[in-house]
Amino acid sequence: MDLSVVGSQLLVGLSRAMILFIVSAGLSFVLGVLRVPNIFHGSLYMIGAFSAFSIATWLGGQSTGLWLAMLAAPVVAVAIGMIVERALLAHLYRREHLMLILFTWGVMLILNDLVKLAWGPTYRSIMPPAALQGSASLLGIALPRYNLFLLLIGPLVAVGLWLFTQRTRIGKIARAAAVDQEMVAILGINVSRVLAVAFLVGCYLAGLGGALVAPTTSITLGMDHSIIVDAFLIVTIGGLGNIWGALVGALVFGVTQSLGLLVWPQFAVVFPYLTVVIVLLLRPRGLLRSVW
Amino acid sequence: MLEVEGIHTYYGLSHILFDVSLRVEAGEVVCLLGRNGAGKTTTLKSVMGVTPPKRGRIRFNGEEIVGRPPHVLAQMGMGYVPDDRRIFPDLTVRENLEIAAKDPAGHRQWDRDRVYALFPALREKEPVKGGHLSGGEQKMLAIARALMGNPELLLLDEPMEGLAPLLVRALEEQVLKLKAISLTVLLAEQNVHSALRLSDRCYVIDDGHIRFQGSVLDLKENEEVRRRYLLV
Ligand SMILES: Nc1ncnc2c1ncn2[C@@H]1O[C@H](COP(=O)(O)OP(=O)(O)OP(=O)(O)O)[C@@H](O)[C@H]1O
Ligand SMILES: [Mg+2]
Repeated sequence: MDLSVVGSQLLVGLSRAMILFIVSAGLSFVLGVLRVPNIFHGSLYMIGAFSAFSIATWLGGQSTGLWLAMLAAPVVAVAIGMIVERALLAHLYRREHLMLILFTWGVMLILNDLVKLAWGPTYRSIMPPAALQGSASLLGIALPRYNLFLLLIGPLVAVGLWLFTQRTRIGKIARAAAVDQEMVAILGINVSRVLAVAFLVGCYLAGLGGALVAPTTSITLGMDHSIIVDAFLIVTIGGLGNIWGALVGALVFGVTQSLGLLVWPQFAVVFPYLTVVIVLLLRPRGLLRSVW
Repeated sequence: MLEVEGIHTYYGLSHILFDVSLRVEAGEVVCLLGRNGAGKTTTLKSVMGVTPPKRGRIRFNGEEIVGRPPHVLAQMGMGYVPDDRRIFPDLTVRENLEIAAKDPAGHRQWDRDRVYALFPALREKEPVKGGHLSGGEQKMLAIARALMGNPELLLLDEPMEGLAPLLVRALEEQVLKLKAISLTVLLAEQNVHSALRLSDRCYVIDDGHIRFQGSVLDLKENEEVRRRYLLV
């Protein structure tokens, strides 16, 4: 087999893993800090993608419009996520997990219907901004520019999230609240506000993932289901609530997916799931330390 | 500064505090003595709003506070050091202190340097995660963390519990320093000797009832109360 084909497939896999990472990191962060397994995280991803399409179209589909769409689409996801959080979820944080799963699952169904109403059942697609069209070469391997862009964005998001949790006051408080919300409150901190900020970060990452994936795929109903399953698996193999775990999990997932395409194309989809099973058999609590 | 009047507190259906009343004046160190399970922690938690009483009144600086959530009470000037320390294990010593920093009254008595001056051992542990500290270090950190919030009233729940005698002495010194700068303290203790060295007045609680109140001298002279409720 041609090595450069393997190399480019690997890089494509890595760049796809960056989107998986961004979405999973958001899910994992919310799971770690708020203890909420947020099923409608996938809906926010889908809304991010559809919004990117609509904003880009509305702005005329030119390069500037596409860039602005990338920036603004996650904000739409944040707005919708925060309406749900403030109006409903904020009152349910102390409920048991099954209740939270059922609730966020219900929200997913509702958001799915709203997306259907707003955008209809047809496929949508957008182009990457002009500067990211065509291909470039990395280490002598030809690769679509947009995938290179994703390879840059992923680590940037990882570092940004790390700085947020380690260097900002609210990030440190969020880490404390992940362990003991009552004690955080005793220090005079309004925990509800901290949880809202943590949830906002999660929504933003879901929307950003959606906006980033939009130029690489057909935007369609059902995106929410497939991403949420993958994201939960990634978070589980990485270690619940661990941001670096989300990165490792996403890399394992994305790379086995794309290498599977080379090895056995008809069965490529099963490779990442098979890997998940193997990882969980060997390390039931995930590759990195789980905060649970 | 603090007036607790006839509070009744429950955990679910079990009735724990019965008509508990106590007062703490500004600048006093008042001790709440009682053996295991007497209701000391529950009393402090009731004051802090963690387990609000079902009946009775609590006033802090003249304001009725029953029903207010803990973060509001902390903002009003209460600080609480739980008996089980509850240090944030994933945060470093420094971060544990940083997130606790506030200054409700706006006169900034305490900052990191000052709490390190009070507990020099913590300065050396600044980059260490809270979860990797020894029990005694965690105790000091819990007190330091509460002080970072510049409280007017400090609720201390068994700060000496489980410490080596040498450390108990050292910690007593620190509490006396707090007293010297006229911080108001409500101290829950089982250790009668420490408590008597530190406080101005004391209450004895048993089975959720206040059984005795008086000055330290009164309690020293009252064999009966000490034998019946304090096992000494
Ligand atoms: N979370 C809880 N749920 C139910 N009952 C509780 C709970 N916490 C304490 N209790 C009960 O309330 C009573 C008073 O407990 P509390 O913790 O206030 O005692 P304490 O005086 O602080 O004792 P110790 O010296 O052991 O700390 C005890 O009988 C205890 O069993
Ligand atoms: Mg106790």
